Amino acid sequence: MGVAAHEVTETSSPDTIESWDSLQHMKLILAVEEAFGVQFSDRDIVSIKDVQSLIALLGRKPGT
Amino acid sequence: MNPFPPLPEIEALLSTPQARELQQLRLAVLRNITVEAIEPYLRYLAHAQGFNAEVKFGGFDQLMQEAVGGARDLLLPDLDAVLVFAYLSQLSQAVATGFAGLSKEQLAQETERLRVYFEEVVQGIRRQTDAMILWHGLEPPLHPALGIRDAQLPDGQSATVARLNDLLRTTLTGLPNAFLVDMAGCLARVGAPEFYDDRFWHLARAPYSRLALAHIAGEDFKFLRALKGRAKKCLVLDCDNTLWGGIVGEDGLKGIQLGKDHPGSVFSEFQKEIVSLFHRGVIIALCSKNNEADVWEVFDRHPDMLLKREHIAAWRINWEDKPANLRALAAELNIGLDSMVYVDDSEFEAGLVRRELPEVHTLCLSGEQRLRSRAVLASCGLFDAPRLTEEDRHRGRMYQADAGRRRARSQSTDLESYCRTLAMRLEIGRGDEFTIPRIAQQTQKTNQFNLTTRRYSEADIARFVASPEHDVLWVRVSDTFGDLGIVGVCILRYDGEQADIDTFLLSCRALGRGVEARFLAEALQVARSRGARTVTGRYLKTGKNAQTEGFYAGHGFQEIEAARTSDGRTFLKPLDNLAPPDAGHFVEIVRPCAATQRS
Repeated sequence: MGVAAHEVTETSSPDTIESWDSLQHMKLILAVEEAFGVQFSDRDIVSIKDVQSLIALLGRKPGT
Repeated sequence: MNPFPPLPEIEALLSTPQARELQQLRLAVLRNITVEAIEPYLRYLAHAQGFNAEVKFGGFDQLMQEAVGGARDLLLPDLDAVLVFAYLSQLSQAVATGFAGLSKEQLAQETERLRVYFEEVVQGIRRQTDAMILWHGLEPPLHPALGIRDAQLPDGQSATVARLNDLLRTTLTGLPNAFLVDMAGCLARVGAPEFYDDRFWHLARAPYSRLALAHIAGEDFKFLRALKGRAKKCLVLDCDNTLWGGIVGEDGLKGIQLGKDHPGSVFSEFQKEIVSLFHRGVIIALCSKNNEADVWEVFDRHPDMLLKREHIAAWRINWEDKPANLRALAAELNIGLDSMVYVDDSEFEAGLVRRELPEVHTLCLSGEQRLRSRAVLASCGLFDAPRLTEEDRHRGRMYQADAGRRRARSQSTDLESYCRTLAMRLEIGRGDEFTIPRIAQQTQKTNQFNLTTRRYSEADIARFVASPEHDVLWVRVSDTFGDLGIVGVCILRYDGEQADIDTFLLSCRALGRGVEARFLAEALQVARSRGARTVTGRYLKTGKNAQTEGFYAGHGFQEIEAARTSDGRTFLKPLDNLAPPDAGHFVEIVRPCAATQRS
């Protein structure tokens, strides 16, 4: 998304990061799924509103 | 199985300054779906071909508008290719999801509407740019609209989608540089459950999974590779364990695996694929470590050889290293090394070629890859061309007519430094109850690198091991690829201060690494430590062991001319001034037998 790692916080969200649109959201989900070996459901994906909710959801997923 | 590295690795690779400096490859994507996730795969494949790809996406579902000129800065004249994704569900609700309710008249109207649509889009793109057009065809319906009846009908949903693909093909092939990408093939290879990602279809109108997009990008690059003149021209093949199972020099004509039944059928199918490539205009060459006569005997006399002499344009069948032979083949055929694909079953040989000649595309078909060898060759796309010319059909023969006319000089290969990277380790030991069976087997089976070809039973070897007049030595090789096991045997016989090398042999899979020289040197140390002042070695000629005739002369022995006969030569070496042991290019040599005392 063109954002430096140190600028990302738990409260980063589409509201605070301008480039975080629906397409970037999809790319983010795909990258996280690949990196952590997990699979989100369609409802999971829409429930992810910011970095914090992504981390929380990831914590509830059994990795492979 | 995703054939690509993880996304962060791809990103890191593509963001290096060197990657950015590569020649530009400009791609535009027109689409009625979300396919942005294909970008890293397209750019990764471009990078592998030496290009820095720039991928521009047209607006979502703006396909027609952009094709007919509605987009600035997208369909520019200097584009290399335009990729078109016209997904059926977006293109025609009627055919995709409303099919069961269509009357014949409505279906005819809808088909005609789509034909005109295809025509207008293709013509519209062509008016703006001469770039290659790659139109991703329609996938067959997974669950045809009319259920089991669908397949019975000439105008069912499956038949209709096939007809639409026919219309597309007709439209595209009517223009230069416009092609249909076979999406049904991509779907079949990946498998539907892995091909589609329903979550993102519903969330973002992105039907294809990452895995699907990786495979689609691979398919696109078969075209782009040909467009950019990077298609390969020549297939160079190893022989033993590549064209047939086993080693002809050891197993003999009747012992190799080739034919209708397992395991020979694996090699027969591989040969069929090679013959197909020949008919598609690929030059076929051989590069193998064998006695040349053995290989041609298989070509001429084995009833199940499908590959024939007339398919082979050039060959290097000798004991030289493979990179030198590949250079010679390229010079003889007058093609670049970057036009060659080399196939070998040996990780050692493939590794050497990859290191010395990175421009050659090397395929290593070892172990479990063996069973997939036909599929690997058929799916690689390296030789693909979107059109076949008359010249292509006859190229193989043309080159064959030329073969042998030119003689090329080989350049030296840095074999020693390659061997160092393999961290090769030698272990030399004396025969004992654990190794006697393997030692006997080697004397019985080894034909090519075998100085005297004396066949011994386990009882014979056990007798030598127990005898104070003999030393039975074996050598074992391992490297970063694994353990080759015991690959060589030397039997020394003593008569006072005189030692004689009764047997010296090495399995052919260990050749070309300098093992024989080091093993001989170690054996001579053993002989001297036993009090021998001189050593003799014999070369006894057979139909198979010509490569060893110069072995002793090459390692400081003098021939005893008086002892020479038509089928044997004898060589002598004094042991007084023996060079001290040296590991050479091996990382370690283990010598439990170095001491004079025997346990």
